[in-house]
Amino acid sequence: MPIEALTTTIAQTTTIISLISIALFGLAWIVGSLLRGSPIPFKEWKEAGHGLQQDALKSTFLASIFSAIVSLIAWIASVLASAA
Amino acid sequence: MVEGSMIGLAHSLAVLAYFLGIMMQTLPIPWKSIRAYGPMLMWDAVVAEIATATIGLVQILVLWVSNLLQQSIDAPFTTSSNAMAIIISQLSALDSSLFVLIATLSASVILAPVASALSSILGPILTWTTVALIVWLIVQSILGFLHTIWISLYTLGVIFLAIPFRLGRRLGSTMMATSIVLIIMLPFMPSLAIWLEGNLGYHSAIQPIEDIIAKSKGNPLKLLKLIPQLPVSVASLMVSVVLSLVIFPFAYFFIVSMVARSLASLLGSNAAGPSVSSFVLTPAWELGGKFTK
Repeated sequence: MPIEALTTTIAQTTTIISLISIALFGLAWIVGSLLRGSPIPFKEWKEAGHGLQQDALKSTFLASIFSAIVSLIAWIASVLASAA
Repeated sequence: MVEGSMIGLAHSLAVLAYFLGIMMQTLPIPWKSIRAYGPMLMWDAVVAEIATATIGLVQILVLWVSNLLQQSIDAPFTTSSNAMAIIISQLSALDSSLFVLIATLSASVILAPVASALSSILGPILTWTTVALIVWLIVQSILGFLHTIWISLYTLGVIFLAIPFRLGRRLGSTMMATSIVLIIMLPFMPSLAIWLEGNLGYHSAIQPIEDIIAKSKGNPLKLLKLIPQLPVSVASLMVSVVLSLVIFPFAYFFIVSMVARSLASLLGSNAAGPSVSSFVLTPAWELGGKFTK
């Protein structure tokens, strides 16, 4: 079925994007730490580093919450389907 | 029943949009305008996921509202097929009688000028009656398969809604709104037309005749008033038929389209997505602004 093949392709792309997101989280955290800890007199750069770290942490937390909710819904649906 | 593969596609698109939003928010770039698309994508994905999860609920809700309206509206026919049969037979009779009248008069040489005058008067009515007949036949054919395809149309709308970066948001919300409005409002169209025709025809044509007959019970001479009343009643009946069967469908379609547009804007068709230039120009402006400071 073409729809199922498309769904599988999208799911694979989502997996790749989620892996890239995790890698980007690490990169953004390191870049943020670097900017915050660098011995430079520019306050804007340090604030940008703090913003990078904050956004990375927030997005990773939201990703894990979303994954947990979707998994929970899938588990409830499978339990209901097996009970019916 | 909706195909599970379509729901699966909508779900996977919503998850993809969510993780794209996560990725955009995590990008270690100094331009906040690009990172700001992350929360927007995530919010859209959550909305699309809720729309995907509630397809079954919408199906039950729409059927419930449809049944509720069917029981509440005092329509003369419970099924639209009976009303549709009466409408099509009336319009066919009107169409063919006008055509036969003009054709018969045109056949005789003496009455040819009368036929010419009549055809110039009745020509537009004949045209519009034929158009209305075609419209009602289209409505009948749509009503035949609408009950089976509306949920597929709705699910397709959810799929378009779930496409990342709001690429199909307007089309998706329009499809969702149109399918809901059509499945609720279209089955009532024939019954409402018959109800309108009955009310208009009774009050303008039948009731005056009933009044004259009631008044003439004591005085039979008052029955003579029926003679001038009869052409007026026939003309009023014609007016009620034309109003309810020829003009009403177009007015009803206008109302349906207005309701569908309002519902589509409520579902988010007004929300504009990010343009390609916003990914290129906005960082350039921000960078330029930093340098000019």
